[in-house]
Amino acid sequence: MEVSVIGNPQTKKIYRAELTYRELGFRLGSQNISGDSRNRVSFLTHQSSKWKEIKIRSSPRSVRCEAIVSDQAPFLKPTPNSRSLESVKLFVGLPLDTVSDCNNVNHLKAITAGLKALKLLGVEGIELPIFWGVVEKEAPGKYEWSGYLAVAEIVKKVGLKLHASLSFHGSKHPEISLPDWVAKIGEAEQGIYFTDRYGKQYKDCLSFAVDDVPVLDGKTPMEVYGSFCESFKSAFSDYMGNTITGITLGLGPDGELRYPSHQHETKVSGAGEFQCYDKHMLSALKHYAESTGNPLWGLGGPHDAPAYDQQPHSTPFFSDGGSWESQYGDFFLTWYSSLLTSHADRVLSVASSAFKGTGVSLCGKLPLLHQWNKLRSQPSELTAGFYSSGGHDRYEAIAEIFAKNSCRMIVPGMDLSDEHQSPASLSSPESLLAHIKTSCKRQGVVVSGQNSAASVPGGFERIVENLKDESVGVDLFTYQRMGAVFFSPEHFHAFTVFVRNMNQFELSSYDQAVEGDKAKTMSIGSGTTGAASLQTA
Amino acid sequence: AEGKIYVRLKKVKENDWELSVGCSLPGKWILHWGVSYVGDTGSEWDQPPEDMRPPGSLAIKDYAIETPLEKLSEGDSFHEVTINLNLESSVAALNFVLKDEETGAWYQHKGRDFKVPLLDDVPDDGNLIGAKKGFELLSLEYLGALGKLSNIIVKQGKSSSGSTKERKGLEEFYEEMPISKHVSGDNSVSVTARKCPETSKNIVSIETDLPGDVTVHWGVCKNGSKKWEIPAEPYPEETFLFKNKALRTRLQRKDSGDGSFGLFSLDEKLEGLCFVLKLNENTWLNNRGEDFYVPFLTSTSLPVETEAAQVSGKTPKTNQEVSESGFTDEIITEIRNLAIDISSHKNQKTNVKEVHINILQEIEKLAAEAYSIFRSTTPTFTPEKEVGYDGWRLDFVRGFWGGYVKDYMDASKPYFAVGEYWDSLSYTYGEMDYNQDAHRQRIVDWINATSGAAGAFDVTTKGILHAALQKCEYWRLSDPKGKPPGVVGWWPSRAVTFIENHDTGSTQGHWRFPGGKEMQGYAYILTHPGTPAVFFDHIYSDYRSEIASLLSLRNRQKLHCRSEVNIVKSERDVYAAIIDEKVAMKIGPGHYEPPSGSQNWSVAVEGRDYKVWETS
Repeated sequence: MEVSVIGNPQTKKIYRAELTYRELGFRLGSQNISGDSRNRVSFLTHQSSKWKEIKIRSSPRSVRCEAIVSDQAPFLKPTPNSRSLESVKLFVGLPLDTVSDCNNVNHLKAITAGLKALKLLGVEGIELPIFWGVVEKEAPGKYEWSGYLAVAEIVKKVGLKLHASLSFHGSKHPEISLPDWVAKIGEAEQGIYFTDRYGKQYKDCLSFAVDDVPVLDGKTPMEVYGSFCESFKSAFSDYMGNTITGITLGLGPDGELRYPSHQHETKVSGAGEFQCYDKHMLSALKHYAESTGNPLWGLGGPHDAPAYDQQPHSTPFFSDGGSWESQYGDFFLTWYSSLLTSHADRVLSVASSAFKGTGVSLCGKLPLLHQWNKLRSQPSELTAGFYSSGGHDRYEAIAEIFAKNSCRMIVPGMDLSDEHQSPASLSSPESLLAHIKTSCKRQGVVVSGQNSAASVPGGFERIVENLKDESVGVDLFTYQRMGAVFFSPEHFHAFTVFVRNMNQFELSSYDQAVEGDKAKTMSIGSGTTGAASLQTA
Repeated sequence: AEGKIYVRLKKVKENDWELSVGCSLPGKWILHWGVSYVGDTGSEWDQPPEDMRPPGSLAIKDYAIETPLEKLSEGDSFHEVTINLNLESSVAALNFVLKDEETGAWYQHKGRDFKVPLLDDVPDDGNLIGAKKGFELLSLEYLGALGKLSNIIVKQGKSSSGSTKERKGLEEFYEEMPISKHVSGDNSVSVTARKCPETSKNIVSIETDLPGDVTVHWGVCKNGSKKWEIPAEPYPEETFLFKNKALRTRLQRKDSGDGSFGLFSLDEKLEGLCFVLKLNENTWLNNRGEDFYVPFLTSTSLPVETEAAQVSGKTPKTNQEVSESGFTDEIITEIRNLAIDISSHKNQKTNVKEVHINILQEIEKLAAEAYSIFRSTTPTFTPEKEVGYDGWRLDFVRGFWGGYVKDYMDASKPYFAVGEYWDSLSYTYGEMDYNQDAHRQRIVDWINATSGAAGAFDVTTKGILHAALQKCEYWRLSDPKGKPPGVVGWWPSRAVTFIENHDTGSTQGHWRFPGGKEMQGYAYILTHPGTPAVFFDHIYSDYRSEIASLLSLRNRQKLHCRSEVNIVKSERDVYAAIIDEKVAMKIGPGHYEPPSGSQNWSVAVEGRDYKVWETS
């Protein structure tokens, strides 16, 4: 009969303390204590120095048995040739609806508590999505920053950095639309939104074709975005360069640089559709076709592309030897992708002139269109606007634009691994990610990471692998995103482990403390004496 | 104070044995005990037979007895209680913990009950080798958590392979274990004063591990006097004005239940905070007859240590009217400066670990707070309802000390109450650990703190089912002792088994059960002990008729929360068990058929990767 007397309510702290200990394995009987430096015999998890008399003894009877006290929060083993994660700054995104469209801060108390928790955990900063539709809701030029300013103040007080995402798009969940006055214009005048071949409009983002068309009360969207940036700069001048260290410019749907090729909310099964059917797009296409001597090609988009819910190969366009590889295909796709590239250039130029000299780094986000990317045609990327004639690198032109504007590139999906993709989707997020990273490296563009929206199995492990990758040094990672799921026990625990795996410094200072304590308190340990006394068991 | 607990099993005459439990320390000692009967599973206690209960015993619900220890002689601090064992009954073991009513401290056995076996443990049917091993591990180690270990000679019944009812292995023994009564010299109050750099406010945090409710009776000082003044609002939560002279703030209980804390944010112009602590109507703590005084810094840049030193290391005397002076006299209140700023702590090597633990506790507390708000503000479209009970459902009780729940339950006396103590299971390198004892122990501790007034959702079982079903690891469903690995394996009558609720599933989906495998989950929980809860959404799903068949089977065969489960297979791809010898079930793609022996099994319910049989 084994007896221990644990006599004080204080002992409950032991359970809490477990969180902080590393894996412990010790074996009795014929097994040896594993005494390498990774193992800390640490179930004497007391926190007060008064508990120093703790001893372990075993009775004379000998039976082979084992006890593995496993830690709740193991640290990853350092792999020798991977880079240290110390230099990676970790950010966490705030909920999309942090500020309501009446400029109230939603879940203020929860956010405050959450930010404190993250600060204590060692997170560097916070990403705050700022919506055009919230700030400039009522009338052009009438900005209401109060809600976002309140959040910035909280972030500053907690001592975190802030990364502002200026979002010129709307969101479905939670529902945040473009400014009311823009929506009104959209109703009156068809053609400012992306439109698919069925005439369905995507009302959460303006078409790339109107970038320089004065559709917004006599102003072009670029002028409106520019004024928005200027207003932001002056409203947040106290925070610029100190609390605010980065600004991400919204480049398209969900902030990502792409066409809204998937308009259906249902499960993504197809490769998406081309979005070139709004008035301005069609006229640009017509103009381009005429100027290249193929007026008949400018009457509309590809007629043999699959529908949203169709498999890419169900129609000829994306098949091997299909239209995409034809002269027509090259014509269309070159034009379609050039609009994407020039849109990126316009927005980033506007932003870089607005934020010049503020000491804030600029970023833009790309999508990770990994579905179907094992097909030669890479249809998901084509419908979203990523193409390069003659099989050249389809991300090179984009990376060049980013480099030109000294802009960082945010690449999401760093939590995705090939093995968790359904084989039917012919998807390889890992190789696409590697591809984009290489393109960036070639152009000298710094890459920041994000995870994908939904949590995936093995996601944290995959992120760490990605961050350790030496070939392209990702020095900033933003985890998306705070909310109920984020703080739910299973998830938050996993996140805690993830953060601590990244935080080498805390770890080492902590080790020393454990070591010191061990020397004072343990009668067993990694030494042979301890092992011998246990082996008498 | 250090002393010992002893346990003595003595044979008075043939078939007349007595067990004595004693303690050498002064205190108001209570033996909190129950028995296990032959065939009982898990760590569940039962009421002992009437004739075993010493006079003065009080029954606690239906599972325990509390018997006070009597002083052996006047002027001696030895306390003892003797129980006459009824060996005619089928009592297999006696379980107890020792409680000191003065301090509220529980003296346990490695976080579990003391267990005195009165029968030889006979292996079930040879498949419990793991269990045997585990058992012997327990009987090998002596773990004195609080004191030095004395040499203890174990005398235990030699194992015999006789029939279970024979007590021939029973031998007399006497054991002593050292204990130290921790109230003496071990409670502390930590006071931290700092300036908030942004608002210049003075932030005072008071933290203590004193058990029970602690109220801070306080005021502020200004203009160079130490006269108590009432500061302007706002005040911390639970603050009341006392006769216009002082404020009274009840400190908040820590999540772990072992102490309390409070934060006071005070105007920058104030010079200090004075306070005394009130433990109950008659017990006050002060600083050697003086009020505690915490001076504030006038300049924001000065370190706080020097100022705080003024109040450090003092032993407070208690008000002499106190009746419970035995307890309070000995309290050494240690006031130390515990700066919250992390960076400053990095230099204080000795404190690093303690600070780490504090930080982790703080992180956990904050995250739990954030979660409880976020999830309540996240819109839910589905009405939530646990089917079949009239009672309380206590949402997310982590951070809600069990003792409060008890008070609440005592006041409201519901037919049924269940708490949701949800924290994370244990993982190693992202892989769920096989052994989830620590996890279920935390839930059991929570139930214990409610004195069994509330049951708890068996989050452990849900988590293990996730891993088992998702990754085809059905071996997880048997613990090393061959029992269910969740709370239901230890305390089935308090375990509310479930596979989904409105937070984990439905529109919120914070921890969704593996999709498509819900019926395997129901085949498990609706045939097993514990009190199963069916998720409202599932009743209105395609699973409706299958769930209904399982429910009527449970009723028809009168399976209940203490039904006995006999796990017959737990392999990679199949788990099978026989419950109360009348229902057999298997889940997983693997093959299993109940034995075609004396019993006649017929299939009762069947579906994708599960099958349930009953005897006819």
